[in-house]
Amino acid sequence: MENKKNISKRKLFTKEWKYKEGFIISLALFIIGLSISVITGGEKAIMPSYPINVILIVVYTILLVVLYLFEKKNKVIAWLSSIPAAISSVVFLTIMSTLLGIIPQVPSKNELINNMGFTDLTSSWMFAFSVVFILTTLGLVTAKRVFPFKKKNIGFLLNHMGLYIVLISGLAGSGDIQRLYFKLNDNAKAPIDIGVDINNSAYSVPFKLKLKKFIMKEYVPKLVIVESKNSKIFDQRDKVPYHVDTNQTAKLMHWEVKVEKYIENALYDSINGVYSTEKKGAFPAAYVKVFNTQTSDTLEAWITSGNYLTYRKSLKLNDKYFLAMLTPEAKKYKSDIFVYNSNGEMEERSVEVNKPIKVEGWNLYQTGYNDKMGKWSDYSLVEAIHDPWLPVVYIGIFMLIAGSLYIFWIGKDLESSSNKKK
Amino acid sequence: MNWDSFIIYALSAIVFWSLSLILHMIPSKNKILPLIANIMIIVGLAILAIYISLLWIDLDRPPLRTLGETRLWYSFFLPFIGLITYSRWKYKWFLGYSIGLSILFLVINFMHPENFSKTLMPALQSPWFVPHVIVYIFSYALLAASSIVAIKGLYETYFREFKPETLDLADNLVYVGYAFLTLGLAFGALWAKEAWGHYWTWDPKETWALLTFLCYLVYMHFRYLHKSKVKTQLWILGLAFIVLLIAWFGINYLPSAQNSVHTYGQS
Ligand code: HEM
Repeated sequence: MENKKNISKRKLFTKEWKYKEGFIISLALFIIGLSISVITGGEKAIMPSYPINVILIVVYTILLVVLYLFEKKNKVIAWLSSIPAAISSVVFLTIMSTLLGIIPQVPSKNELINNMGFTDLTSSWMFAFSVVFILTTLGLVTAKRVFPFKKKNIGFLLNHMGLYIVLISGLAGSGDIQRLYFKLNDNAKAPIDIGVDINNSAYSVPFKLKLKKFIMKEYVPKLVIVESKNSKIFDQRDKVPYHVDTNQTAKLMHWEVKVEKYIENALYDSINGVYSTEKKGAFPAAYVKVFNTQTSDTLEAWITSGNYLTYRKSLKLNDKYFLAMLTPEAKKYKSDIFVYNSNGEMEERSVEVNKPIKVEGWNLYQTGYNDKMGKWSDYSLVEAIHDPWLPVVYIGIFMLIAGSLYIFWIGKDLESSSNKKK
Repeated sequence: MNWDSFIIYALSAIVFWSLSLILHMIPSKNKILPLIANIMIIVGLAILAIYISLLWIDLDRPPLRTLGETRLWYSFFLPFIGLITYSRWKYKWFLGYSIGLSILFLVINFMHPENFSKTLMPALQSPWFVPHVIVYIFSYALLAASSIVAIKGLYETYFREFKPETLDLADNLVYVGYAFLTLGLAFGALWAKEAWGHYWTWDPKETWALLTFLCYLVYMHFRYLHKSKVKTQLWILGLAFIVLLIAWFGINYLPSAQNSVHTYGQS
């Protein structure tokens, strides 16, 4: 297509722009972004909130369309809506994302690195500029295929306009999104309508919440062999964990372990020994029989996982190893809560992981609990999120999904075009 | 379901697939031999499918959590893709490659068995889990295949004669793989909203999936404009493979990934 000699001899920024210009523009954007961060002492590039973000994105989108319609012959605009610009901007974003994918995004001890923005890349100016570059190209190339509109461009538009919508509304949305945490205490007297954000600033919401009950289901705990000297779980070759509810005998190293009795909620004391109970603070317990295949010795005892109140009870197998029950892992947890809406009406609802509920335009999520206390947690952490841009982002995502089906078709077209060649 | 039975299933699949490759290598005029060979691949696939189903039932959760479990799915999908590609475009070497890679995964799984733990953290207990992960696995398998094609193409350009059809195959794989990658990202975003409250959190696995997306995006656009610059296209695809491999396996070792929800835990 192009003549190699022409490209290398071509003067920069004259004639038709290609990849070199793209590289220089990316580099310039990177340096400018970095300079802003350093000069301002780590000022972040943060999207303003409503209504300024709406004005920004509407004005920017209109600007791109107008620029395309009236200046499409201009070589800069022509270049910005071409593949070399697209590839340059994508490569720029790729490099920024690679940094993001490698550098841990936690504040560093080195103040300069923090100020440069490398430890909080997504809100750095360099990153913002790379996104603006992509958006510009994407916007212009979309305009190119919208005016004039042709039916055969539908697939193209689904992908490019879809991505434009996702990017720009996600960006705008970051200025308006509100995330608040509500610590709902077990014994709270009154419902609360005040949550805190990640910086611990308090905000009020138009509804009130009160915890009725926090409920957790746990997995049946596992039995493992632990090395005494370093408390490490012994790595068995086949590493098949032994869940205590099975009736089968398990072979752990050279011990055959059998659970004779399993109690999900147990407590023990010197008078009653181990007993089943529904009391708070109970933990799983198992009566195990262990047969040593090398020495033919048999051991038996109660072992427990223990918890925040009681020590774990393990079984010493020999000088090197003991048999232990691991703390059970959470299977499901949810909060039954009372929700009072702005009219003062009360409703009983349930929030569970992966099953958020909607209240007055906010989504409520089950996020956490008191880890130390596990299923006996004395509070439930519920997160409330208000994200007015979500429907717009979803429109973009569904356009991309439709667009990916189009890409599927293209694959077929390519096949037929190469068949024609044969 | 333990590893004793894994080896039985894995070995039978490997035997069927190896026999099938041998049959494919025998030059024959009639169509019976290739037909038998293809049926053998299907039998191997069925055996692996049965093992995965039994494992699923036994674990009482989808076996998609650990690296070992995902390798199992790759072992299943690779010969599947190989077979489809072969029946449509007749690339024998590609069939051999996909089956070879699949066998490699099975062997790795036998050498490094993973924790077949029954537990699945609550955030992963979602109807999105299975489509999200399977779409990704399928897409990564296809994209990896396309990059292997590119590496073969590079070898041909430098040491032999390059055949343009090679890149046609790569294109088909890229386009289908890319469609699935987009679906994977989209499903992931929709699910993340349900589970964590936000559709995109720049989690390292997300970031690297996006990087993969961007690299193949560069390839598609470059190829669209510069049809004739074959060498550069091949290099872009080869490079994309490195990013893909990091997204696929490397994540667990990156310093940025210590808190990722996507790293495959051992606990
Ligand atoms: C979901 C992601 C994307 C997909 C699937 C995609 C796909 C495509 C395809 C298949 C074409 C060929 C044109 C045609 O089919 O008629 C194309 C062209 C193009 N794409 Fe993309 N693309 C994506 C993202 C982007 C991005 C992020 C940019 C810019 C930053 C971009 C800029 C362009 C440009 C400039 C063209 C040339 C169009 C023309 O000259 O008329 N694309 N894209």
